[in-house]
Amino acid sequence: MNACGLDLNAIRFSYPDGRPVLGGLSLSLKPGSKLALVGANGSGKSTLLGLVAGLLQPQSGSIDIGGLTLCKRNLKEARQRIGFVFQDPDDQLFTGSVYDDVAFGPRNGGLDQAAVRERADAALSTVGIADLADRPPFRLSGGEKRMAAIATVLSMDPGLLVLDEPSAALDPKARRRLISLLSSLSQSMLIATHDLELALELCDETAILFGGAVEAAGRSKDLLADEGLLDRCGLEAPLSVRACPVCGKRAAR
Amino acid sequence: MKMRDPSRTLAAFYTVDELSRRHSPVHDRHPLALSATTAAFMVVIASFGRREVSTILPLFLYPCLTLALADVRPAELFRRLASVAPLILAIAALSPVFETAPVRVGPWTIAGGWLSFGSLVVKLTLTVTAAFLLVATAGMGGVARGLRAAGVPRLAVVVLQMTYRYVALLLAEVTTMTRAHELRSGGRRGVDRSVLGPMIGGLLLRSYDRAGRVYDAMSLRGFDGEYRVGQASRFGVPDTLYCLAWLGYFAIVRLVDLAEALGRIANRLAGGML
Repeated sequence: MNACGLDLNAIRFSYPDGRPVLGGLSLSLKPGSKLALVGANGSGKSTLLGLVAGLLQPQSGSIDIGGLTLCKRNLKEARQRIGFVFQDPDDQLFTGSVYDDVAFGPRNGGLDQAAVRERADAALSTVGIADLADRPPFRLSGGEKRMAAIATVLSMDPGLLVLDEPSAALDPKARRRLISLLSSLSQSMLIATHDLELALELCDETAILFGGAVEAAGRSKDLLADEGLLDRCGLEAPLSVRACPVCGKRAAR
Repeated sequence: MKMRDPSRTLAAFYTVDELSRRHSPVHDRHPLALSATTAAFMVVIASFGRREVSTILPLFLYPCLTLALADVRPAELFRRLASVAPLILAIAALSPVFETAPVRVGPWTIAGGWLSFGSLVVKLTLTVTAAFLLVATAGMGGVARGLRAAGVPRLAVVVLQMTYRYVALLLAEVTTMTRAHELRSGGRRGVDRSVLGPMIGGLLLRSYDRAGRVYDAMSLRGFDGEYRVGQASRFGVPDTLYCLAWLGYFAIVRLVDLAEALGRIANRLAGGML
């Protein structure tokens, strides 16, 4: 599937207890681009991802995925365009083997056995875990589970990848492999993360959520170097853009 | 209250999944052949009288041969049997209490309940063994395929599969909670009664929450109520032969007292000395 764009228009959302989370949020993602969604805890990042995936319904506003305005009627079609990677890979890996997990989506898509096999093999190869196909997810390391979770959505050939904290709990090498993998994929990406280094390295654009709205959106290297803005939003500038504490110089990016 | 390490239970749970992904003359059979054979085996076991023991014993050939052909280590089976042994013994132990009428067994006179006890232990052991071997060779997906092929309603099969997966999820949560508890319990083993109630309540809420997230992950990948586990190969001649061979053997065991017949043959060979 071709990369999908995403348009969020004036999204309002409150949880059933009345606690407002998003108040008229608008955001846009061009097809093929990668957008980092950053913000302090409780700023609404995961809620926003849930809304994009149709797991939650906004009280008002519209969500447009690749030209399709999300509603209950076209939920199935819209979800075929999205690959949602959960924060905890254990939520995403629920069958007895990695292969069965990766094949789960294509099987539900009604593909025949050969096509399912082809999709699953391709997804496993893309994330570099073809040799783990027969292993139960329970026996994988954290990094392997993350790759398997990504493979489970790649096998569905989505146009938009939605990732919730993809680098959480990964060791440096696994994180590096993840960044390499994500930067090699052609899908549009919406990445909610606290890992601002990842956002800086992977995403051309960043949106900073604060108080249920987009406080700032723009080029990652501009926004994530703005220490005042980040501090105001409860964030901290990534080390790579901070000035050297000794000489005061900044690294050239 | 002392508890078995739940992480080991969880590992054992997943080991069955791993076993089912092997290839062997048994693993390669159609799931319907394996499910039908197991079902027939269980029906035959249930059909024996409540005091029959020796007549059932030839049925042990089925699990023994399956273990050997499927290359499943007997230790895997014994570990699971050991975990259900208290339950089996508890069920069977009631027989000697309620059936006190004496019966003669060879030169001895014992309470009839002991024969029922022996029969129940053998039957339950064989049933648990057969169920384990079915899941260890066909896998839960294979069992589901077999049940669907046998005409079991979709809803029942989905419920069975979901329950199986929920047990795994529950065990994972139990592992996390007991580990967290152990690390703050000052070296005491097991869970204290005073915190057991809140822990169970917390466990249910956590597992409910987690099950919700797993369901979301499933529905985001097109789950619509049918748990698709791939297509099985065609039911071929080897599958038919496998079924017929075992069904034939079960029928012989049911109709002929093999233990007695073998005893007679042995006696004749020994010149009537036995």
